[in-house]
Amino acid sequence: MMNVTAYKRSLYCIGFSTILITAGCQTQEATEEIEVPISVEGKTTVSYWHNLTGRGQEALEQVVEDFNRSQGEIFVQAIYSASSEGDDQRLLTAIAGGNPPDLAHFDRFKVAQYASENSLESLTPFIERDQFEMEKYYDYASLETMYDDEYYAIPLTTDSRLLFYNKDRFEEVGLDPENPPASINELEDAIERLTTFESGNIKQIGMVPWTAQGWFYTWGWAFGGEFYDEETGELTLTDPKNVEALEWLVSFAEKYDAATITSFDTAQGSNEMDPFNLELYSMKIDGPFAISNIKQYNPDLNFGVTPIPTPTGDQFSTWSGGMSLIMPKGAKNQDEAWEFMKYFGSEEGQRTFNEMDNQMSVIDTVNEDLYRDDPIMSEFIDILPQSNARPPIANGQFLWNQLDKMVEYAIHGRGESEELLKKVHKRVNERQ
Amino acid sequence: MSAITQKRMKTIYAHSVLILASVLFLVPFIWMVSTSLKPLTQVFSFPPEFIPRPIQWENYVEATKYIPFWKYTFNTAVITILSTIGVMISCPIVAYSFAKLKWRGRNVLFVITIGVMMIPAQVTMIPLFLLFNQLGWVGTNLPLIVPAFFGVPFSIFLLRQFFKGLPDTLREAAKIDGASEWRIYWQIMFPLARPAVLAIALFQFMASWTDFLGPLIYLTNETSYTLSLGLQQFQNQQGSQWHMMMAVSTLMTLPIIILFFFMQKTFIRGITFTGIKG
Amino acid sequence: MKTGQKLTVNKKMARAPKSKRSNETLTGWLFASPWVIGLLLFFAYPLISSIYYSFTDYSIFQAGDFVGMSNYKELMTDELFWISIGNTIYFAVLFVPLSIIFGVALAMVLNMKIKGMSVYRTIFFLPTLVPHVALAILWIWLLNPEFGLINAGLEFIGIDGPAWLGSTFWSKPSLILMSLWGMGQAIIIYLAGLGDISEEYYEAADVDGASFLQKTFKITLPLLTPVIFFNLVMGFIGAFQQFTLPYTMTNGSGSPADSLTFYVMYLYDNAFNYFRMGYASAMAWILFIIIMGLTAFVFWTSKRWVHYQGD
Repeated sequence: MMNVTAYKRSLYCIGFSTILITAGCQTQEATEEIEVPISVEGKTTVSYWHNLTGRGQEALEQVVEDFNRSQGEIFVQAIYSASSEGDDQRLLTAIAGGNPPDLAHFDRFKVAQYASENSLESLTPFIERDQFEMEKYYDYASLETMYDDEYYAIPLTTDSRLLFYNKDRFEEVGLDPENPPASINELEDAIERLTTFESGNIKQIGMVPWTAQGWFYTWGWAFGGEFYDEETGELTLTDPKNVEALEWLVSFAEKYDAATITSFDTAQGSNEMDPFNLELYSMKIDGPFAISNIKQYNPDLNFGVTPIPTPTGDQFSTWSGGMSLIMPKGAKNQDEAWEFMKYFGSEEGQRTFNEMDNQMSVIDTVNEDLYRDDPIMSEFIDILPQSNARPPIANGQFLWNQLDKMVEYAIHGRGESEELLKKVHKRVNERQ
Repeated sequence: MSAITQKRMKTIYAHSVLILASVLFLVPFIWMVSTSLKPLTQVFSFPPEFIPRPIQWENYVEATKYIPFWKYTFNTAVITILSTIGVMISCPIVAYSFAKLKWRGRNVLFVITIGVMMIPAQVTMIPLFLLFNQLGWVGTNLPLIVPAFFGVPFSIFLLRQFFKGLPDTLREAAKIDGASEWRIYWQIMFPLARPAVLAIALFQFMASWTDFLGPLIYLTNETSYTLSLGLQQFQNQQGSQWHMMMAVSTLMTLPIIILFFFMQKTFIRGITFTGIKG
Repeated sequence: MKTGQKLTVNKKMARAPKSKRSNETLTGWLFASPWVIGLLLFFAYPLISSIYYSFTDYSIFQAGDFVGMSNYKELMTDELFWISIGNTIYFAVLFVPLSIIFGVALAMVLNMKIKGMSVYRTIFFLPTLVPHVALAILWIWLLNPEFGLINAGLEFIGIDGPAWLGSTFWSKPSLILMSLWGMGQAIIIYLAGLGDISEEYYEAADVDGASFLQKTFKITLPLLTPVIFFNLVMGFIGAFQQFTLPYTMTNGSGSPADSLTFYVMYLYDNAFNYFRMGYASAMAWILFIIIMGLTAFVFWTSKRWVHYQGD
């Protein structure tokens, strides 16, 4: 009989919780204000999907509000789409199902790939009609919005990569914190001095070059390599400078045993347990987005930023990504959506958003205004004119993954640098 | 050794094994709960600390304000409870048919049932979306509820195994008494399969309660979002709200733990077949 | 309600007064009809579509052309495809038997009549409730070769711990270890199975003076085989579709050096990152054939080792 009673009890349990939850929510509903999709009488509603949370969401909603207030015909409705960064299955299925929003917040890196699939509306007709100036954006940023000589996105934000270094650790080992490494040789020397052992085990590591934002693009460009010829549209992965960069990474892996030192930063959402923040690594390559993390988890960390060292100690460079605004194929209110794109892409929209979300704008003057007084952010702005964008090709994501895997293979001793680069080149070209 | 001391020894032995293993299995859960009570700055301290200092109960209050927690809970509960009821109705009867009735086409259908689980959902996701789009169900919670009423292969297979394990003699005796197939199922077999039916109910509950991809694709209106979509809102490239995310995660586990705690009592051995027949 | 249902069933039976056999066929189909309808409604179209896609270069956004067997041919020469198969088989072959051995053993202990058992049972079930992101981060901490708790513990007893997730050799064993933590579901199934074993068997065995081991091997295990069989089949299906944990752990990259790139991870990349849904569909159907073959083998052997009380 025992089990029958327990069975009934469980059923009651389910029933009860239903009632409780239902009741609880109904009272809640009355008090809680939840944004309901509003279709404002007489205005055209433009739906805008984004995946920003926290401050970013507030900033975006501010821009939308300013726009909505500024004119009488259009109402933009921002909808949080709950997608994680990188995986946007909701947008993907919506476009494939012919039921997309009018606008979407979108990683600029993916513009070319989506455009090549004919899944974005071209903005060129609008840009030409209204003589919208794409020239006001950084060159690399507008380049990244293009595919096949047409524009498919309006750039919104950008970033760049620099060398972060722990000033206190520098002082401890007798390095000048105001004079960080500029050349690869100086970097190697600093790494060696910053790496300490305790009874045979590593206690602190100077730096692991391929962690955080130390992608192959980062080092390739730092070594003076090129990945893409804009004129011919051809990939140039096997550039001797790229080979040199990969060989350097391999030599580092051999010296410090790749398996032991590669372990911290692979998981999704693990930015927070960054070994640099924990002061286990003394240097890393990272972007401006890493600053808020440091402030949150280790506010006392005394750090500086400097351009990524190069073999010659000058001619510094970096690369940048960022977000943009797109109009998915099949968007219903295109003219109205374009009006909002123009506003978000203007100096005014850029200033409102980037000031609130503390991000770098794609317009030079906005950045000067917002960040010139900040010594760290100034470094990030100053490098932007020398910045690069990843090749805007249909296979951009495939190339990215292939390069990422290639570095892994190289540092784990599975192939010669030049051979590996050639292989990637071949694979990506086969799919062009 | 007397029988009593032997029994006591056995109990002590079992307890020590269980306590040792329990510690290992508790680690992730304790970590989740302790994170939910930490100040954000302590979440990623190194080496990891398990005891929050100070204990921040207000994380829970903040977290339930950061997202429309109660609204999302309600939405999740509707989907979860309805789909759980769905599998409890549909799966046992189908499984019974597979296990005890002899009909032409049964084996083929059973192979298909197992076969559909072998195709990764990633490749059927888009056509399924197109299908629901045609039906006009995208934007509603119907795609997350209705299919459960038609059966879930995992649960059908599991229940089939249980029904097959029940002695045929019961069924034959009832047949001789002139009972209909429905009556045999509902009055004899279904009650015997209760532990298993509750197990599949629990699995369905968990699956619906924590499902992310389904709600992500089909719920396009913020007012109908579920808790798993809400969890996503604590993540941010410039620093996620880990403490609040774990607070909501902890709250999300409570209904499942309560359900499990009561349900598992049905597992206690001692079904006596003879007693139920009448 | 009961009588109403009974009546309809009886009426239908009466209308088709053929042999007893066909009566049962009708009842059988009737009982299975929800699922038959469900299959036709929600499974048939997506599944048939995916077979068709596997012969096209469908890209999610563009319908694509019929390309015959070329996706399948390309897979045969795709290096990463073979690496992912290798990794997946490695995982499945080690994980499935281990999870059955540990699962059954734990379930048997958890089925004893001692105080506080419901608390213990709940504890073993808890890890399945922790979100994957949190699990991944916790494990990365614990397994960090230089700074993690596990190697610190090993060092304490004088063992020089491996590089775990950083090493191409140890990354898969690490993943197996982690996956074993999530045995809660399987344990529930075993417990439900143990609950179904009639007390009478044990009482009879006690009268005969059977030892614990004898009871385990002569009563418990044989009568548990229907659910062991279930967990074996589902274990293989699950192991071959292993995705969420390694994907979250490695942020989709399968690092180090593709040692954690599992079959469905690569399928996913092709489908959603490279927009090669046709290619991914071909992968899905090859996976289907592999698992189906394995399942057929398990079913074939099951006649020898699975004992249903009903038979």
